[in-house]
Amino acid sequence: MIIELIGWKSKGLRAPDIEVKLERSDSSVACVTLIQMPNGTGKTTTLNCLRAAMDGSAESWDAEKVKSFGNTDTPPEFGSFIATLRINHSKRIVIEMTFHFVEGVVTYRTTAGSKIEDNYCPPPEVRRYLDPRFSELLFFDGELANDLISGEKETNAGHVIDTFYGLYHLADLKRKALDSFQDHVRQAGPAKGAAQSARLIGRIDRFRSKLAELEEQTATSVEQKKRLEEESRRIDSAIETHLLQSTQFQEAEQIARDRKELAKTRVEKAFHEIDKIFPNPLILHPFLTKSLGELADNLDKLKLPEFTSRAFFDELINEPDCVCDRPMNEAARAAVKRKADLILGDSINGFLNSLKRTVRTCTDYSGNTEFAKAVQELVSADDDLSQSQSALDDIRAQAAAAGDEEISRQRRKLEEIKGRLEIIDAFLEEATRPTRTGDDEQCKCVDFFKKRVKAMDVELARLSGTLDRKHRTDCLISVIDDAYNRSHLVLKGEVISRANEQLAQILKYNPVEIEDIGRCVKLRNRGGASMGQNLSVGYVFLAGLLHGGGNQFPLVVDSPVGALDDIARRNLGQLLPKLVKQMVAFVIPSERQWFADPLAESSGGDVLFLTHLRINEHTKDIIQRLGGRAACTSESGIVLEGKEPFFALGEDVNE
Amino acid sequence: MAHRAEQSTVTDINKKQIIDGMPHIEVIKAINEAVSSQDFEPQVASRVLAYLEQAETSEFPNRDREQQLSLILNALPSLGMDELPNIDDL
Repeated sequence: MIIELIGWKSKGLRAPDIEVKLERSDSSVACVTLIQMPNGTGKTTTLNCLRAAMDGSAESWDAEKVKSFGNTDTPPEFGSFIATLRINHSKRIVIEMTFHFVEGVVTYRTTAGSKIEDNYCPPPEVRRYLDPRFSELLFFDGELANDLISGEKETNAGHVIDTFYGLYHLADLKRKALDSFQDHVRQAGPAKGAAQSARLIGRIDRFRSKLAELEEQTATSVEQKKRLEEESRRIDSAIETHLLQSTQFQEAEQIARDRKELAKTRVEKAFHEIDKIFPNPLILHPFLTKSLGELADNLDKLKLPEFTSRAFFDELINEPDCVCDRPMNEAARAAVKRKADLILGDSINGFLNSLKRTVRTCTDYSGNTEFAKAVQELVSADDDLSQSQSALDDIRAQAAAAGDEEISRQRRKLEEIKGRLEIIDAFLEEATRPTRTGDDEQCKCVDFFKKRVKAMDVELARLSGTLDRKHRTDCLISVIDDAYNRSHLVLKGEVISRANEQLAQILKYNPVEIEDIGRCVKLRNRGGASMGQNLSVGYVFLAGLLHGGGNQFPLVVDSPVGALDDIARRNLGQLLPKLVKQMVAFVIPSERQWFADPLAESSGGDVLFLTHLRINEHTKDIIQRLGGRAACTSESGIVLEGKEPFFALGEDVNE
Repeated sequence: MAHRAEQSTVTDINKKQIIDGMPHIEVIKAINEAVSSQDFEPQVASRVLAYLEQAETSEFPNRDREQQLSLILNALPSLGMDELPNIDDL
């Protein structure tokens, strides 16, 4: 599927009345379009309208929001925003939004080829890509990239994969199955137990939503914990490195660190010794050795069974009848004697002798002394490790107190991380523990809520006589869960491998590799990447999805370089044209430097430079000085095309 | 594909345009594997896939969803208790 953004047109909105055409005379669109819009030109309005035109979301806006799009000076009755898309290089889709400012509603009209519909109605083959879950990925900004790596905000990198490959339909089917079951229960519930069923349904809903919330929070906490621990190790190592440079504490710090390393080695060695002892229970406790010794002694006396048994056979051959009531004649006596020898012969004696021999060797162990010694050594080594860590902390505290600002800053950060880790650990301990007696709705134990939901589901099914439906619904859910896990794993692997191939080429001087994609994109062997690297990885990850497998979607970017430094801007400028087929970036004048030129160079000149200004008393002179070709002009705004006016606009032009 | 063939026989109500390439081939594989690993009838997989295909179309009204869901549930094993009502009668 190839979707291109061809242009848009706005009228009667907060933004100036303007038409932006991205299609050139030969019907192509530029790889990169840079639209410079100083603050106050209606950038946010345009971006929101573009998004709403693509996903149809304005139908659900409330009146206040709709009215906020109107021109505040002279509020008109109507306003409009028209976006044009092109599908697979041929079919055009025009989505027109009409703002009814008096009523506070937005209505849509969709034109696809010759078909016109008076509502939001893109053709089916395009619809899924314009679904809000998908189209939100097409509107990119620096924050989204950062969120993908940090995982601290709402953006969930794993969900991005689900969205792109349509795995969310599996989740929708699961939800549908559960909802349908509950509807079924409501309908099937007997009048007698109706009130009870209703109460139970309410309770299940509450518990299920709490369970989902806790599971989400647990997943987030696990990832945050990993990240914070990595960050903590990184800061720890940075403090060590920094201290090494400070001569005043260098020697003491080195001694303390050496001592800590020695203690660590001792602890490891002691553990190893204990590890060797554990498989042999005889060394663990003297009671075992003693008891075995006693067993061996008693075995010597254990001739009784043989004699008793032989006496039995001896007596038997002298009896007139056998135990089976047959007469005991000579032949029978000879047979019993022969068989008795076989039964009582070597097998019993051999076994007992072998057992005694084995037990004797076991009693040679020196009892508990070996194990006790090993444990003693471990305790002592552990004490040593604690003391050496305290000594190291003391030295670092002294260094910080002595006025080393950098160390103080790092230590404060470390303390903050430790505090956050304690909170996360406390939550995880509670969330991942098994159910306990006394747990109730207020607890945060995932297991408790899982068990309660399951039990209540069964109870509900029993009350309403829908156990069979419940059973089938459970079977379906297990199929969906299994299928989701299998497909997500494979598709995630493909995304990671494709992104890593690109990253290896793009960031060859400062390689970054994606290790895993969970809630966030996890980088290999890195606690935290720079903002520039985050942006690069975010762009590669998203662009890899949007432009993989013959697909092509427009990437609309607000402030593509944000607060990046000059080097990161240049790198990103060189990177972007290699990743996307169509990018429409909204920039403000201060973002041009270090970015626009490398971008133009990397795209082989396939860049459309547009400068959009509002027309008023203040800008009339500026527009005249800028020159360039007016691609569109109206009473309230102008769009200038060309590199010269793009770069000539002063950074202080904010209206 | 098998599931497409079955879909045409079991869901005449949904003669809408199906989007090529969706569900993704890996999703199709995963559903087939999940169904066979749990020893369910293969038609469970084809009916789940028919549902997903419909979900990819622009319109999939709730009534049709219910109907498709019933078809899936019907293909799944029952509890084997004779006194329980037939799923279609519920």
